[in-house]
Order: sequence, then C-alpha cells, then structure tokens
Amino acid sequence: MFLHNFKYELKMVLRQREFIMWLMLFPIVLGTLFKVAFGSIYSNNDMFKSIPVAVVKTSDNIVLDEIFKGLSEGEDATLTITYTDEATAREMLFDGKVSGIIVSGDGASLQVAGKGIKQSILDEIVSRCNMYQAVIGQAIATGDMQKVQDVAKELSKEVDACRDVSPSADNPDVYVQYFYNLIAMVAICGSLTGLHVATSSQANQSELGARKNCSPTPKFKHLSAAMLGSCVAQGVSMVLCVTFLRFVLQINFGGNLFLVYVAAVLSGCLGVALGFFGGSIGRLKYEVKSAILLSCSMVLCFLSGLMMGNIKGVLAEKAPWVNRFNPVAIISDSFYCLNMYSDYRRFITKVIGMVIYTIAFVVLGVLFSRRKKYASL
Amino acid sequence: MQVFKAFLKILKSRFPSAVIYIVLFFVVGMLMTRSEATESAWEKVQLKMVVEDLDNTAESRALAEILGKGNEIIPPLASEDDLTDALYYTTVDYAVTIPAGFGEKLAAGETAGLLETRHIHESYATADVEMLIGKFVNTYGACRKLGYNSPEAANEAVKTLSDTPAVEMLQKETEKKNSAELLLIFFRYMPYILLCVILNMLCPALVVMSKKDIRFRTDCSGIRPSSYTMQIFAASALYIGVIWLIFVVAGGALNGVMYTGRLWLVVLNSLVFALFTGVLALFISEFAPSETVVSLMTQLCSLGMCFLCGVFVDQALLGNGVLRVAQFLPAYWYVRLIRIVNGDIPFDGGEVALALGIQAGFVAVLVMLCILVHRAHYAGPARKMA
Repeated sequence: MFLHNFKYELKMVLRQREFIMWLMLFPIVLGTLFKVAFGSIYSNNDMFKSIPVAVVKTSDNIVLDEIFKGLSEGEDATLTITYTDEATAREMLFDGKVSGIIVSGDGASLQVAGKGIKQSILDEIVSRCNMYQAVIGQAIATGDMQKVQDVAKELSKEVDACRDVSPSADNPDVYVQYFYNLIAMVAICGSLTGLHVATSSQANQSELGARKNCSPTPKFKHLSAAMLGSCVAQGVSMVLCVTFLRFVLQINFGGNLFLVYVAAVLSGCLGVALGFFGGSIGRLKYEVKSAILLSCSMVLCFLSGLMMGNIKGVLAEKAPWVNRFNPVAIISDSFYCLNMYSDYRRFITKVIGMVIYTIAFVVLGVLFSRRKKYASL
Repeated sequence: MQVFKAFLKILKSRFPSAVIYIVLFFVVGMLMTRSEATESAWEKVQLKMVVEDLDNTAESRALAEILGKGNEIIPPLASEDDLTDALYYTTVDYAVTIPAGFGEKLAAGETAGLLETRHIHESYATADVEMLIGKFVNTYGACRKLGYNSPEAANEAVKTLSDTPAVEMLQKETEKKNSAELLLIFFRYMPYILLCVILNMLCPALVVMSKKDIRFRTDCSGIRPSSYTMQIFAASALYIGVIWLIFVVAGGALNGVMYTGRLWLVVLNSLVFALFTGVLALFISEFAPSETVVSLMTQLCSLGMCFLCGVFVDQALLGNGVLRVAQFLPAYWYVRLIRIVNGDIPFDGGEVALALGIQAGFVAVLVMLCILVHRAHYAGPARKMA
C-alpha cells in the first residue's frame, strides 16, 4: 500500500507541470541573472588593483618624485600615475578616470571627489609622503649626512612585517553567497509541495483529502508516502538546480561537490517539511496558506542575505540568534562552511540543524493534523 | 458598482499578506538607508580591525595605537570560526595579532614576519592596513637611526604618523548632493516591494475575476463589458494608488523630508513604476496562472529585475554589459532617474524625460499586449458559444 501511494504521489507531483516548470525555471533564470550581474564585481571592484591617480606638480620635489616612482613601478604597483596640469586633473577626476589628485610641491596634498577605500589609501600615501619629508627634515637638521642617508634608506626599505595565517577559502568571492541563498530559496519554495501534501490529506481542504480520509488506508501510511514522494521530487529539482549552477554557470561553490549535493537534497526535504507544517496549522484556505508561507519564506531569505549580501554578518554582530535559528540561513551556511572550512565540523553541525528542523516540522505537522473531526464535508 | 465592490472584497482578503511585505520593507528600508547614507565632508574610511596585543611593550602598544587611529578596533571574537565568518562577511576587515617578542625583534632591526595577520579578501582594505603597518615599521626604523632608543622611537613614530594631511573634497557644480539622500535610498529599494506587493495581491484577485464561471456569469448579466473593464481598472488603480501613497507618505515621514523641487520627480517616477507594476499584474493574470505560480513569477520578476537594474547593487558597480541589458527593463530607468536627482549623474531635463518616457512606454506596450492577449483569449470561447 505504501509503494502504491508513493507511486501515485510522485505521479501527482509530476503532473503539476506548471509548478514544476517554474520551480526549475526559477534557479535557471535567477542564477543566470546573478551570474551576469555579479560575475565580475568581485574581481573588478573588490580585489586590489593599482589606483589611478593624477599628480599635479607645482614645484620640483626630489623626495616626492622618488616616492611616486617607487609606488608606481613594478607588476604590483600601488599607483598608476598620470602627470598633468590642474584643469586636466580635475576633468579626469570628475570623469572618474582617476580616484584622486595629488598636488606635489613643498609637500603633498590630496583632492578627491568622493569618499571610499581608494581615496583612503591615497590619503595614507600622501600622509606617508609628508611623514618622509618631516623625518628626513629632522635628519638634515642634525647636520650629519650619514644619518640622513641612513634615515632615507630606512624609510624606503621594503617591509614585509605581516605573516599571513589567514583561513583558507576555496572561493573567497563574497558574491558566491547569493548563489548559496538562491539554492536555499529554491529549497524553501519546496514548502509549496509540502503544503500540497498537508492540504491533500485534510478532508476540509480538498476533495482528495476527503476521499483519503474515507479510505481504509491508515493516515500514517498515506502521509508518509506523500511526504517521501514530495521529498524525492524536491530532491531531484535541487540536484538539477545545483548541477545547472555548477556545470552550466560554472559557479565555484568550493569544498566537496558531493556534499554540496547532499546539503541541497537535505535542504529540499526541509522545505517540504516546512510546507507540511504550515499546511497543517489552522483551517485557512490553500491560497492564503501559500501566500503566508511564501511571504514568510521571503523574510527568512532576506535575513539570510538573498537581497543584501552582508546582512548575515550584521546579524552575527547584532542578533546572532537570528542566523542560528533561521532555517534558510542554516541551509546557505552549510554551503558556506564547505567552502570556508577544510574540516567538516561546522558543516556537520549545519546538517544536523537541517535534520532537526525537518523532523521537528514533520512531527509538529503530524500532531496538528491528527485526530481531526469534520462536522460536514 | 458590483464588480468594483467584489474585486475590492477579494483584494481586502489578501491584504494581510501585503502587510507582511509592507512592514518588512519599512523596517529593512530604514536599516538599509541608514547604513548607506554618506556625508559630504571628507572622512577616511574606517576599517574594522581586531588587534590582539600579546607582547604588551611600548612598541606593540604604539603599533596598536596607530592601527586604532581612524579605524574601529573590535575586541577579539569568541572563536576562530567567528573571526573567519566576520572576515568573510567583511564585518571585520583585518585581524592582527602582535605576538610576544614583537618589541624585541623590532628593536633588533628585524622587519620580516613580525605580526600574525588574518584576512580573506585581497582587497583595498587589506592593502590599506598593510601599508599602515609598513609605514609604522619604516618610521620606527628611521627614528632609531635618528638616535632614539626603542620606546622613544615607538612614541616618536606614533607622533609623526598622527599628523594627517587635509584632504579637499571637490564637487562639480552640477553634482551637488541632494540633502534628501536618505529618502532617495529609500526610493531606490521601492521597485522590489512594489513588484512583490502589487503582483502578489493583484494577480490572484484578477485571476479569480476572470475564472470561467465568474466570467460567463458576468457576461450573461446586464453589465456592459466596457463598464466591467472600467470597474476592474478603477479597483486596481485604487489598490495601486493606496499602496503607492502609503510608501510615499511613509518615506517622507520616516526620513523627515518634505517633498520639494526635484524630489517631486522621484515621486512621479515611483508612480509611473507603480503603474507599470499594475499593468504587469494585468498582463500576467491574462494567462490565468495558479496562485503558486504567481508567487514564483513574482519573485522571479522582482528579484531578477532588481538585481540586474541596480536596485540591490549600485548601478555604478555593475558592468557595462549588464547595464546595456538592463536598459531593456523599466527598473533600470527608474534607478537612473533617482541617480540623476541624487547628483550621481549630471542633471539634464532631457535625461529625466527620457527615463520617465521609457517607463511610460513600457506601460503603454504592456497595456496593448494585455488587450491583444485578452481578445485572443476570449474570442475563442465567444465564437464557440455563438
């Protein structure tokens, strides 16, 4: 009987062609748009590249010339310098061709048209120029030329004081989290399948439910078959979603790809369980329940960083419990953990979290939907 | 007015889920606007750093002081995992551990591998901090050569490095930032919520009204088709108007700004976009999708359009190729007009008219498509009945 119900549940899910199509289309279209929009932001805007700057010389200054030369030479040059007059420099600044104008005379000063990290680095460089001049000035004041030479040598010495012990990330691109959240969103959209399971087993919600309740099949059997069928269908759509993102859009999730699939399938089950739980509460119509479920899912997706990438970091500071309990954040965190941590300790914690949520939603759903009596059907 | 009343009744039953979106938008909108607001005076970007001093000598304290100047020092996080998360999400830009023996090594003239540092992104922030550390070590070394002993050299380095140059902020006359920047950020995020609230609520209601049974019953009644259409339009317009008005009034009130001058262009802009959203709802409902599909389509349209057109991510950050594609969507022109009013793009009446005109053009095209699809849909059953 279980297998019979399971087979028909699968058939029912597959016959919802419109829904299946949209569920498949969802990650394909949004994933492609994300790829188009974020594909090059990280490398173009976030990664350090030589900063374009205009230098306007009002008088000769050998010290500053040497500093600028040092900063603009070599493969990993800090500055890309254009020497020009003030009017052209301003034009370049307003056209966005340079990030700032350094006026080089007796000292150095900076002109910018906006505030940002590039301008802050330029500020740092200008302050370094002035500091060099001040310290060398002190050395000159001693009248000892050897000291002047030693100080100048010390100031221009290449320093590598930082020993990098950074955690290793397979893919440090912060924008990849939008794809984690997209997978999480597709999984949570699976709640609509779970909602369908709940409503189709309640006699006051659907005709099918009324028929099922009249049949001699134990409720546990048809419910478990329906849940399993929905989980299988949702699991398949999750596998297709990850496959499309990984192999068609070439998104580097980082970590072990097999475990990415495992996490995706589990998250699909969590989505179905959430829908089943939501559908089992109260006597509202299917349409109203689906609207509420989707609105709540979008709120959870927002808090997980689907619309605003750094929200999770902000919440970790201000309200860490939100990240700990938000099921969508747990799903996206599982992918993040695979990317960022070489051991599976945190990934396993997240997976356990997903399993606990799934079991809790199913148990609560069963509790809410059992022993119902209907006065009239 | 039976159709009008019935339609409003259906819309009313769906209003609670709209309220979830509206409340969320206000809360989130306020958070986002506060976090993005900028001031026009020069200010160095404050980096967030975790500095752990295990040496506690004059040299290490001097370095910690220099790192803290103009930056935000965050106390060490509870665990290594928390630090990794913070570095990834850039709530911490850089972490520096000053190990025991740092002062001794520095005094001995060593400069390599003095500090343990952690960062995830090879970003400008990382470059900025490493430049600052290098500057300290160089200055300290120079002070030593000047004859200072180690603690004195550290103090002298702090003194020398504390002098920051004055930075001049230049602005084009045409680029004066609008004082209502907060309100403009609020308006930038509005397309997402308009799409969510209007499509999610209006589409299912329209689908109900055009269900076969209801439609045929209405057609059999004495009501004229034109009157039916007008009543549906009027009820839809009323709903869109109410939602739009809530946002416009609340936007001004929450940001403490009165609508004056060019800000009215932004208001007009949002009205045209709200109209576009309404017509898009009409168009989608012509295909009579199920409620579930409407929800998925809504998310697809809203998220897709908003990501591509610069609602969530600033247009300035998006590549030229992306923006060229985005020009075929109304949200791009909506955001562009906001950028014009904000002074990010030089103000030009022609550009403003173009942005509004293109959005209005989208409305007109969608209206025509609605009429076409509607006729194609109902010509079939009507012919069969005849």
